[in-house]
Amino acid sequence: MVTRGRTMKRQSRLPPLHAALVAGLGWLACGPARAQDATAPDIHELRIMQPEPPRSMDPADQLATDTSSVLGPMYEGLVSVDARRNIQPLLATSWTHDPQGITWDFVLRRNVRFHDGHAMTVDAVVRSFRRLLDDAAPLAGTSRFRTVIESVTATGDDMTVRFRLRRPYPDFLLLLSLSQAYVTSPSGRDMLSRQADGTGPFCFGEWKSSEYVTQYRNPDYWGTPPRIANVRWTWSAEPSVMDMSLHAGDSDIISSLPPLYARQTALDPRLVVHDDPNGPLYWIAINMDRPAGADPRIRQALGYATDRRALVHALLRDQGQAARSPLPPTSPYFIDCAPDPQYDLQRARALLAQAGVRDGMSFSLAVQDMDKPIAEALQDMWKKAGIHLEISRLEGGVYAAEAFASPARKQALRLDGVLASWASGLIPDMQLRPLFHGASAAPAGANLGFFHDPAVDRLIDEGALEMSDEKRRAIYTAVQQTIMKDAPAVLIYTCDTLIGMRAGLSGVVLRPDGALDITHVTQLPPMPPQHDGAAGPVHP
Amino acid sequence: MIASPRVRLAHLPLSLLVGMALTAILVLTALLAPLISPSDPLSQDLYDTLQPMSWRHPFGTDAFGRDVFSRIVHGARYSLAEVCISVFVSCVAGTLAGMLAALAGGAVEQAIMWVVDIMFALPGIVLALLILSLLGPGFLNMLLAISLFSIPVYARLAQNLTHTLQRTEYVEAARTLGAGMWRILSVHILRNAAAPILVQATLTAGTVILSASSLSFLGLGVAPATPEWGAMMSDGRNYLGIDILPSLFPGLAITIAVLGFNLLGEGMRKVMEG
Amino acid sequence: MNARIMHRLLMLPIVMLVVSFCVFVAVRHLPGDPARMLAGPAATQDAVDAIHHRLGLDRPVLRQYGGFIHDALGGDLGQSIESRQPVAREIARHFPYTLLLGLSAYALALGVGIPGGLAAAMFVDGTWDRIFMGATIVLASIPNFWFALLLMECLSVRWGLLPLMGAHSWSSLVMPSLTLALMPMALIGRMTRASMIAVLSRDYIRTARAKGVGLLRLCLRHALPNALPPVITVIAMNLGSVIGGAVVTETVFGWPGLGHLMIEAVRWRDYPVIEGITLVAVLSVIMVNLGAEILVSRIDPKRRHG
Repeated sequence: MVTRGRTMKRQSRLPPLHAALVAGLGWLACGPARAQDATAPDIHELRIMQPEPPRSMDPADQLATDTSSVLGPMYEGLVSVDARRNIQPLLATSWTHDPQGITWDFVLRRNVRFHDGHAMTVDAVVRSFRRLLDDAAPLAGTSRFRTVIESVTATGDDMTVRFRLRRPYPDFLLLLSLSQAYVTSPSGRDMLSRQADGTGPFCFGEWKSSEYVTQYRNPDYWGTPPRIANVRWTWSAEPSVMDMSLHAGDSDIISSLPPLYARQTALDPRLVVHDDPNGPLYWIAINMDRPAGADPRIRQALGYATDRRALVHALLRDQGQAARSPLPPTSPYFIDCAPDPQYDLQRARALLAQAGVRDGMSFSLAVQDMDKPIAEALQDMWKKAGIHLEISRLEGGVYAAEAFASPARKQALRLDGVLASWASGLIPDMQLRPLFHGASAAPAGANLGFFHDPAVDRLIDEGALEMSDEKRRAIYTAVQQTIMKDAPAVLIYTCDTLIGMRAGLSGVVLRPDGALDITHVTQLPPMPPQHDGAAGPVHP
Repeated sequence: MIASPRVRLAHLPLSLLVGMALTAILVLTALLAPLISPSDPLSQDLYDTLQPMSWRHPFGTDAFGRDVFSRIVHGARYSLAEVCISVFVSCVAGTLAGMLAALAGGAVEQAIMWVVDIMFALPGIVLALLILSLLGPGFLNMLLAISLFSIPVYARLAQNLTHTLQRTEYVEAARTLGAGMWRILSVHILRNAAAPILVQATLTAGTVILSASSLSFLGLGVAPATPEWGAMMSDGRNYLGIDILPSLFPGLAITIAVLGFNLLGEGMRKVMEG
Repeated sequence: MNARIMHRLLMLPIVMLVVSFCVFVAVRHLPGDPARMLAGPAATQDAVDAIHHRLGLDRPVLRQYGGFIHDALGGDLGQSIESRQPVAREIARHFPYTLLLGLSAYALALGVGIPGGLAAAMFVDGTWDRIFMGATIVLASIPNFWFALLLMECLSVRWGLLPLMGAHSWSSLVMPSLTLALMPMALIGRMTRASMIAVLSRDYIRTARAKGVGLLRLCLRHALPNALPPVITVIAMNLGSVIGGAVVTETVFGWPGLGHLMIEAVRWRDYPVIEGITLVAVLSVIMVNLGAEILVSRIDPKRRHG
């Protein structure tokens, strides 16, 4: 109740500040909210805060989870994947493929319009995908799709699109469900990076860099209209600010709530926390070209010196799992292949001694600003095994440049390892191939330590093509076991995705790719009187 | 002529006495850090994190289970080092530049003061951001950045002082007697300018700690795990709303240290002005 | 006096040129790569090279600088790498917020500092003087971001009185301006007091006092105008450090001003935006100092006649 009162007061006070700025300094405000339609939505404005700002409004030109969450309400792909990983029709109503799995035909949904008013036609879909696949003007998502899709063409039929693949790809439908494959309007192409134009249930309102993105309900949406009139996305890199924003009622939903704050948020009767085990995997890629990486005993020693349970306890407040495979535990192909015990200081010291490391060694690690705590905790942990961890903490841009540096450059930087995270557990090939395939060695891919094992490469290649689920399982089991044995990386943990939100909201979904889906959010009817803490509906 | 120490002490301004006491505490803490602190400021206990105040941990523990009190005590060393190094570097560089400019006069003075003006126009934080992005974050780089942006203050002060002193009779006398520029500078001007410059240095010392903690706060300061107060506060803000202690005490420590230097400088100025 | 101001005005373009060149070269040598950030971590080298070419970053630095100066003279500061908006428009969008924050902080600082300093000077070594002097020196010693964190913790999280961050309403302005006002408030208070004490000891004031002019009237009508010039000079000279405080304050409170934009731009290696904001900051420091000098020469009776 208190929350609601403050919210309304704030809204009523909102115009004067802007008005004053406009009047005084001639700054142009734009983007009036649309009038409400007949079926009144029950949430006037849904406010979501995330850690990162969106990188682009162009779905083909981004790979970040938080960007994908912002784009989700405005765009749609040909298919979608539900929380149980089942493929559902979206802009395509049905599809067929030839026995080899090379040619796929998708029948498009009729009477769908882009936000700019143009009809979604075969031509529009073909142009949208050609844009994604265009090697002459590569976008962030291009390489991921080009390796699979050879061409996208219209067929004679007015509603059918044909995809030709380079080779059979068992997870093709999952690939099409990813945000990079969202269908974009052909008329929006030059402006797409700043102004979204898709077919989704929400239209793009305004994007103020470093402030917010607003969206409003699409009045001409083909499907079930959402129950939200306006959506507002904000972001803050400060965990405490995200938490305070939720407690103070400034935000309704916090995507990825910092684990430290989860317990006290759960204690607040006005708030709820959703704990989804689907989250990124953190690991240290060991540079195989440096002395520490060249010796498998040292690599294994680093693993044994890492107390993952303590890390999960202190940094994630037990809301995560120690890494026991290069695949996340949410993957259907995950098998636990960790040694027991995983943390064994004696063993680490013994392995180091066998490798000829007598008076300790030093290990230099590149870390992104926000992952600093992991490195800081490891520093004290590894010290006990006689390993001195030198942390070089880098801002995002510098980190990306160093993490993806070539072997020669990393040699020059004397970089022994890179701490990184990866959140693509949906398709095993999109986790194992970029991280551990020899052809993905940086700068070409995310194999940041230049791990190269022909046997692993072959298995990864086979797994990607294998149509039989049983054989695939066997292949991926072998890949996981080999990688765990070779230890080209110190696999640390997977952290749960924690969503903090106002009690009374329902329908928040975490998509399998880790992005937040808010299109189905509704306001629950008021709680029975004994739960007086819950907020009532905004529009009774 | 000979007054008892007690009387002289009583004549000193209160600010000077309090300032001296606070600064002495800072220096002693820094020197005796290993003796005072109950535990290793770097040693972690991941199963004993964010603990409240207790006899074992007077200021509680941080997110890595380190003893905040020990870290604060060791942090005094970093703050003292910041003050000593930065103030020394900027004071020497600025004073030399200002005095040389004033003594040389003409085009040289114009040129030097022009560079100083440009540095003065560039807001310190912008300069520091650029320097630290260029050199990479780190304790010494941070001190370099801070030293650089306090140079203009000393340069201007030294220039003015030198001009004033140059017009005094004894410098004119020395010059007519054929004393060289270095001799005039070292014997006559430096000796007389020392006191005001020292006061300025003391007044700047507090600012140095504040600037250093701002830069650490923006993530451009010391290496991770270093018990530097600004960095500790920057880490502590990640737990704001859960546990205020990890950011409360470093902030308090900074305030007290800066207050000590400010009072000391204030008191010294009062004594000088009579 | 006029000659000196003319001289400064003439130097202005040269200073701007030197600063812009230094910053231009410096930012391009920062480690990190905006193209890499734009393309995302998984992008290929070809994609990064293509972006380099599009942004013109593959040309020699001197030629890039020539192009920048050429455009800047025409009023075009280039295009932001991150948002692809003209830099001038980005700055124009964020500047009002910084100006608003700065003005309200200075209003607060002047509103407290001048009356406080005045009262302290009227009763030197009195109780109020001691309290005021003690308070200002403590205020000047508090790290502003720590103060900001305490404000947020108390006013927003514990008591829920004010919005935590952002710029949604007038109440959002309270905590940032309080934080930013700390330093200038202490400075103005101390300077007013010192300057007033000096003026009050002058002969004509003593004479007026002997003639029986009331103390308050004497201070407000006769002494204050004479005491203001040093205060104005100090305000202008410390603008640089207030800008520094604004960067920190805006970062903590998510206030969408130029400081916030600057931190973002450095993080993104958004060269044109860093360049643009630096030039705006330098220009405002110089102009404010110049303005202060002119103002002082106008209101200072001593200099006006001399």
